[in-house]
Order: sequence, then structure tokens, then C-alpha cells
Amino acid sequence: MICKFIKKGIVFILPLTILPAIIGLGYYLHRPDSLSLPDASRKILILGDSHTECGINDSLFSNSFNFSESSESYLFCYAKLQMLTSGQKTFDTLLLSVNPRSLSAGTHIPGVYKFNSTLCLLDWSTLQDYLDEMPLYMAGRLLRPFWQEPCLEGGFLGLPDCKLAKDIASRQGKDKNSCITYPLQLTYLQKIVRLCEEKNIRLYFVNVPMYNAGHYFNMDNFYQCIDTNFREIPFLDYGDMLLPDSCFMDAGHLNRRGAEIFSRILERDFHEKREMMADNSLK
Amino acid sequence: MLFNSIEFLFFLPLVFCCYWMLSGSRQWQNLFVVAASYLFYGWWDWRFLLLIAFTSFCSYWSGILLQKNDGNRRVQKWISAGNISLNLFILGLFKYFNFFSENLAALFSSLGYEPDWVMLDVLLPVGISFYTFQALSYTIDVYRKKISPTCDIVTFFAYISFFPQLVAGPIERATNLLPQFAKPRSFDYGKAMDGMRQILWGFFKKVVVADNCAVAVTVIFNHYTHESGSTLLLGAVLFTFQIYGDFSGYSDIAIGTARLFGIDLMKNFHFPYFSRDIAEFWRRWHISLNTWFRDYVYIPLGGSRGKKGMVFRNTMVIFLLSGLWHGANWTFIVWGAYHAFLFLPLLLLGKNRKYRDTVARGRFWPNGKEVLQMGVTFGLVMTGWVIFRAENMTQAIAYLRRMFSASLFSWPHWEGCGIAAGGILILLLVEWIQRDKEHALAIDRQIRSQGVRWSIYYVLVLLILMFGGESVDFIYFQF
Repeated sequence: MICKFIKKGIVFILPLTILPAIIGLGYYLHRPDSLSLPDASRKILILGDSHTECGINDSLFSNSFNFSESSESYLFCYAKLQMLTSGQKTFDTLLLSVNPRSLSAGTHIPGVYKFNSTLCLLDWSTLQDYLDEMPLYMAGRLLRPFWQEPCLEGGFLGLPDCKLAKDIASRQGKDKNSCITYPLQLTYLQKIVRLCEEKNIRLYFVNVPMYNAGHYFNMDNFYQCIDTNFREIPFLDYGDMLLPDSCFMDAGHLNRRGAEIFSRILERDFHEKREMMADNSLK
Repeated sequence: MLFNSIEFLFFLPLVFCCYWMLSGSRQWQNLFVVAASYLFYGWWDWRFLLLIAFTSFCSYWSGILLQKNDGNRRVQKWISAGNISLNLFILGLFKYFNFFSENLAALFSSLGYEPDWVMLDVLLPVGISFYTFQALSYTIDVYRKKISPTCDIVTFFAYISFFPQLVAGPIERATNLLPQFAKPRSFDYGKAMDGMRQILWGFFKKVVVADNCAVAVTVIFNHYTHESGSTLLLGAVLFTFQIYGDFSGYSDIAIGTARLFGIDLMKNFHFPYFSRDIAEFWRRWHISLNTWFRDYVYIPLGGSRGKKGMVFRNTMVIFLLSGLWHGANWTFIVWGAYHAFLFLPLLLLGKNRKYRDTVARGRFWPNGKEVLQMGVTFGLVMTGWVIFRAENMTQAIAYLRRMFSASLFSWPHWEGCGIAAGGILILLLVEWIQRDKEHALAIDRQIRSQGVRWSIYYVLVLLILMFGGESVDFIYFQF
């Protein structure tokens, strides 16, 4: 009887193990050895979440390529960067989105666990981190993109709307986001920093303007985390930059108009900062 | 080791196969159960193993001494009192010392005396309340001659540490579990299959219902000062299902796992949210703890026989103890008292045993009166859970005040609760249909077609995999 029980158990489990195995194999076979930017002449790569995705228009910021995507966690940024640097590297600078939301847990947790088609880019140790954090979620998501073609996601997204007033109203009476650093985010941000050092890539952190950020986020915790862990990384911080209300899609994101203004300002400041750093290093 | 962990996924099949390979020898099987259970428990912190081994050894030895002094009731009384005191001392030291210390310090401080009080910086061993109560049940039952003491130390250690129910129950009685370890077991196909079904349903309740509710509940309870009454009501409803899904889910997994090993554990939940009054609710909620208190505290105190004053005292004692058992916090004690005051009127009016059968028996739909009764009972229980969930009494009162304010009639913020709501609907529907069965997925006799049964299992597995929330520890581990 026990053999019958075990046999039945195996027959039941078989489809549940074979299906993810096929998907896993599919991912493995689709996994490119390396990736390169579509335009090799662009030397500045922009990575990060929706803040850079909607805030930096790479057609206005010369020599840059925006590869950010909404809710992109540092885990996926790291995976992208790993692939982009494992072959013929064409860029020498990375602008990485760092903001109070990107480091904290809270609403950003789905971003940390986001399962997009970038999964095929993850190496084994990253997948293990993923599995340890959330085994059931991981197994479930394995079934989800069965019908999806593995491809890379990212690019500038110009938002036409301005829903700032409505967004501010919906935030009324709610507590500030405490901006407690989420360990997995911090781990992968540190890995990105190390990878940039290894591959000789100049890394800059960028905090894209938000509407009255101090009102919605505990900025002290955010800056403390940056100060403690990444003091040596140049930080282009526009978190409290004043822009007209019409430049914001909502309290957290710029719209197309805001991105246009901000991209030009960022380009100017970035070059100034880079020259200043070059001068300092010569001295 | 958590049931919902990768480690357990490998641990269970391995232990299952080894256990039945040893089916020729009961002694080896029991020894293997002890080893596997200690591995399971030591996965959290191996130091806790010393404590459980010490508790088991003392209780085993007290049984031997009770047997040696058979006929000398006075000595037996001292032996059992000594072991009970020792167990309660260990429990008190780890679980309640700081609570009483803090409160005594506050009391002395209010009287103008500032004591230099000692506080312990110790970790609470996982499941200490569960296995301590199990050890106590053995000593008391041996003393009462309800069971003969065992001379087999391995069997006794297996009884105390049996891994499926070690950390969160059901709290087993020696009279039920010990004899099962004392006799040879043979593999029962039907029992094992039913165990698997119960495990599957337990995982659904834990992973889909409880874990998804937990996310919204944490947000709402952490920001209750800024939420509307209707949102707080939603938080309370979700917590009501979270704690049920979490705890009864664990119990289902434990009972189902035990059945794979040929062991029958007692039922711990019997569809409690379909109760028509508080008395019925308490016959269906955490049955193993409530019957423990009934048999070892309530009845020895005189039970419901005697004057009304005594009945009142006895009822208050068991409800307050039940509250305190959950943890060293005033919220638990007040929660116990709250339920005592809901239960007492029924007891004193002799209506506490009015509903002993299943609601709407023989019908699918309940009638209007039953719906109203279940709704009112659910509301009362839910209010109690707010007290239970709150960090302290100040938060509990503020939460309830805000919940029952005018904003109760506004539209709640229910974004992000969709999966939890879907899970709750499936839970209620399945449990309603199956409410007179042993457990919600006891479908082998109703659905003859294996294809249909397997389709149901696959749907549940996919729901668990695709809609499982972020992994959250079982709530009752802390108790």
C-alpha cells in the first residue's frame, strides 16, 4: 500500500515539477551570454526604477541610453548590468536611480520580487537569493511567464498626464513612508557598486525630483543610509528641487514636460560634476 | 523549521520514507521520530533542545516515581505537584517573568518605591506553552490513574516532541497520543491520502488566505490613526480571517502530517466562524486548549456545579488563564476577560449548550435567524480579535473607538486586498459546503471520480503557488 501511495504521489507531483523544469530550461536556452546597448556610441547608461524611467529623456540627454523600468529593484538592475558588462562593454558611465522609495521596503516590495522576463538574466546565486526570500512566490511566478518571450525591458517613458492634485489628496492623512532600508535592496545596490569598480565604470547616483518629498518620506533615514554605505559615490540629488506643479504626473514622478526640463538640467550638472571630479583627480 | 519552507519540502518525504522502512520495529520507529523531531525543532535554535529534553525527562521521571509510590497518595501528590511546579516555573521564567517583573515594578513605582528590578534577557523558546501543557497532562493523568505511566523513555520523548504538533499544537493528551506510540503502527493508505488532503487545505488557508490578509492587516494596524472607521473594520475582518487561516491552517497541516505517520491527533478547529453563539464558538475554536483548561482547571475547581458565584469565578479563571496562555501582555488578558463576559450570560442562563449540532443541518442555505446569529457572533469575535492583535490596550481602545466612529459608513481603502478577499470567499464557500465533515477537503466519499478530485487538488496547488502571499511566520509560534 505504501508503494501505491508513493507512486500516486509521484504521478501527482510530476506535472508540477516537469512544467517549471521545462520553463527553466526554456529560460536557460534563451539566456543570452551577454547583451549590448543598441547604440554603441552612447557612453552613459541610465538604470533604475520609474523615477529615472519617467524622469530622464535620453533623446535630450546627449550620449545617454535610458534602460530603466518601473519598479525595477536593484536585483534586476544588477542582473542587467552584469549582462551588459560581460561582453563588449560600450559605455563607461552609469547613472543609477536612488531615491527614498527605491531603498525602502513598504510599497516597493513588489518591485523587489518583480518577476519580469529579465529573470533569464539572473545568475544562479541571485536566483538562490530570490528563492530564499520567497520560495512559493518564486515557484508561482515560474508558471506565469510561460507564454512570454524572454526579452529585456526598459526605456524612457514620457507620461503625458498631470494628476498631482488627485494624488496629493489621496495621500492626505497618511503617515510618512519611514524609508527603512530593505536588506535585499541594499545588498544588490552594494553589488552594483562593486561591479562598477571591477569593470571600471563611473557610477553616479541620481535622485530625480519629487513633489515635496520630505512631506511623504522620512528623508533622514534615506540620507543616513546613503551616508553610511555610499559616501564615496557622487550623488546628483534633486529630491528637493523646485519645479512647477505642471511638471509632475504625481507626487513621485515627473511627466513628459518635467522630464524635458529635468533632463537638460541633469545633463548640464552631470558634465559640470564630471569635469570638477576630473580636475580634482588631476590635482 | 517552518511547514512553509523549502527545508520542510525535503524533510517530510525523507522522514516519511525512513519511518515506514522501520515499520518492523516500533522501538526504532519511535527513536527515529524523536531524532527527526529534535532536528525539526533544533532547526530554530539547537539550545532549545536542552530545555525540551529536560522537560521531557522530568515528566518521564515523575511518572516512574508515581508508579513506584503507588498506594501512597500523599507522596504521589507531592511528586506530581513538584513536576507541575517545575514545568510551570520554566514556562513562567521564559514567558512571563519580564511581564510580571515590569508590572510589579510599575506598581511599586506608583507607591513611591523605586525598586532595582531584575529583567531577563532570554529568547522565548518556540512552542514552549504547547509542549509544557502536554507534559503537564501526562503527570496529571498518571496521578489521576487515567493512564499507566510508561517505562519506555523513547516512547515518552516521542509523545512530547512529535514534530507535526510540537510547536503549535494541537495540545495532545497523554491518554490519546501515548498509547498510539506504544503500539505497532501499520501504513493505512486511506488515512495517509486523507492526511495529504488535509495538508493541502491547511496550506491554502495559511499561504493564500492568512499570508495575503497579513499584508493588509499590518498596514492598517500600523496606520490606524489615519484610517477611516470602515478601513479599520476591514482590517479587523481581515485579521479575523488571518488568525483563523494561520492557526487552523497550521493545525490542518499538523494533523494531516501526523496521519501520514499513522498517528491520529485531536481536532483543533471545527469551522468556528459558523457558530451561532459564543459558547458554540468556543467549542469549535482551539479545541485542544479549551478542553485542556476544562479538564485540568475548570472541572477540578468545581465546574458549573455549585453556586452562581463559584461558576462565575471558575469561568473567569479559565478565560483569563486562556488569555494569559497566549502571551505576557494585558491585551491577551483583557481578550480573555472579554470572552468570559460574553460567555457567562449563556452559562448562567443554561443556554451554553443550545447549539451542539451543525448549523443548517440538512439544508444548503441557512435561514434568516441563523444568518443573523452567525453575523452577530462573528462581529463579537472580531471585536475581540482587535484587542488580541493590538500592541497594547491604548492602541486597542483607540482602534475600536475610531472603528466605531461616524467614518464607519465611508468607503474603505481596500486596494491590495483583492487576493485576500478572493481567498476568503473560497475558504468560506468550501468550508460551508463541508461544514459537517471532519475537515474541509474530506471529499473522497462525495466525489467518486478521481479525475475531478485531482483537478480540485491541482487548482488548489496552483492557487497556492500563484497567489501565495509573502511568507509570514505562524502567529501561534510566539505562544
